Amino acid sequence: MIEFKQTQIGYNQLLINLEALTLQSGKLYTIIGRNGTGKTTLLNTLLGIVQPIKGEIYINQKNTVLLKPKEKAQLVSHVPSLFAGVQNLNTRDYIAMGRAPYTNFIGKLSPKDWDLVDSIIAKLNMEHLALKDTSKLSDGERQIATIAKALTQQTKVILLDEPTAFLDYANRMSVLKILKQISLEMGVCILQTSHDLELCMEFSDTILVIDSIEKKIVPLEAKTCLKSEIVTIAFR
Amino acid sequence: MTKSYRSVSYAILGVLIIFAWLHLNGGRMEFHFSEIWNSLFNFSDQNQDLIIYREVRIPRTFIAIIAGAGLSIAGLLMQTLFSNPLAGPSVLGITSGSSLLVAISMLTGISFFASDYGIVAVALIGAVIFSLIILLFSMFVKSHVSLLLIGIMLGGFTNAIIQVLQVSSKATQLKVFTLWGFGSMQQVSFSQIPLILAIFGLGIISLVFLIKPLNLLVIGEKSTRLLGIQLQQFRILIIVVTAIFAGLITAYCGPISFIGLAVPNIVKILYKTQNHLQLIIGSALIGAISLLFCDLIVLWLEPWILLPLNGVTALFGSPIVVWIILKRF
Repeated sequence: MIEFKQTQIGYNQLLINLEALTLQSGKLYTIIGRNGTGKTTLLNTLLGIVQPIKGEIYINQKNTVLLKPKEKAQLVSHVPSLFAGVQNLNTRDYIAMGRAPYTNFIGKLSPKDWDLVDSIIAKLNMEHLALKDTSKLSDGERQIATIAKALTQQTKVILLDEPTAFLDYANRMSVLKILKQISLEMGVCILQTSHDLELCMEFSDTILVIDSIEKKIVPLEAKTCLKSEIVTIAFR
Repeated sequence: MTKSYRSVSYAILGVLIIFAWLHLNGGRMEFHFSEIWNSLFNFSDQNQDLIIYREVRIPRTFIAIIAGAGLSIAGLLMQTLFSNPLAGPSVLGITSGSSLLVAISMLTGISFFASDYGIVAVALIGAVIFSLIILLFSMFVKSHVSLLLIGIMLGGFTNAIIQVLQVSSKATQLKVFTLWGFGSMQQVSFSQIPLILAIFGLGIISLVFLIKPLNLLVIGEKSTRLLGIQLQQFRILIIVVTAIFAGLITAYCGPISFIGLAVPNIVKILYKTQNHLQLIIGSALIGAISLLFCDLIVLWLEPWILLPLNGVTALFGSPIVVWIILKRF
């Protein structure tokens, strides 16, 4: 669960003013907005890379500003829009990196950690890719592997920065299906940014539309809202 | 996966032992166990064989292993930190930092630095300063190639200063410095071994704390940070450990190029892993083998010609580097 309390987001100048907004566990949220209106800045603020200009953000009742990096990594995980793959790093070892916030200074994984990694690989039907080199995966497979890495991190919140930007239609569908499934089955709060209006309306619970003129976020129910409604707010 | 890693490592260790033994016996396959034993534990300065082993051969083999291992580990650390397969202590100008300070202390004749500890100390300080300069630049330049070029420019800049110092120095000082600059495994004496081992050991122990961040760094700095790693601290620590290895070895052996750049790439091809514990062990083993091999060539050709070690490493190293570039870019 993410709570914004009188939070002002932006680098130096204000981009988004969040009076009060609560994002629930077990739901999939999609942020829609023009380029440069603060989508990525909002994610970076949640990740602690950018500090809020004013106000506070609580993740599972914990004030994010006060968290140590390791504690934060146990609460929030992040999926970038592109992971290019690394030569000689296989998919299973890559996914297992998600355990890093829980291991000691040497970083050795326990058998229990490996069981968790393998169960997540099985859950996402990736067994056939487990020993494949990450540099030899397709873009879609790599993105799902990155989501699997976020899952091994066992966080209550997963943030995704345009996770489908580099994928074809079929892969976009499968990534969004997986996200929906994760939010429902594992009770995770998922927040993604996207430019993919139609697909996100189909799979998200709530669309968070950035109104760049009023500098605020308008939450709309994905099931009941109209595309024209989103477009008029986001792109007027 | 781990099974092949083990068998490959044992095979490499076998090769290392053979090379070290050859090197220890002046390039020949001979078995003088009692001489080696006595030179270490029952030394008498009346026996010429014992003197040769104690003062010439044992230190030479020892430093070749240490230097090969240390430079290769330093190269591996740089390559992972800057996610650049062509990084290394000499390419990035870290060795130049040591050279510059060593040149100042050798050529200006300031006696404070002329002692054994003095040379090691200035070489370490030079390496640390230049490493931090490179780290600072790495935060501003985004391109891999730019950082390498900055390192090469740092090297060019220090060379210019060294040349000015050379012109204005005395003939005896100049000779000492020039020989040092050729790179050599023959400048270490038996009594210096404990100090070298202590500093090298410090570097090796520090590596334990670096394996986790190094393993994560291969997927990028942002991802590493978001996995709860406090990267600022580790970046400095990685740089300092690199500087310890590069500075120590440069002080005793001169600026040796190509080993730190080429060896980690060979290890990655052989081991096919990104597990840095395995990569560090592999780099140490293959690095030691490579430098022993280059110095064996120097040894074998000694009756006819006195080759500078740096010439030999470059002779083998540069084609390997070109091959890596063709393969990776």
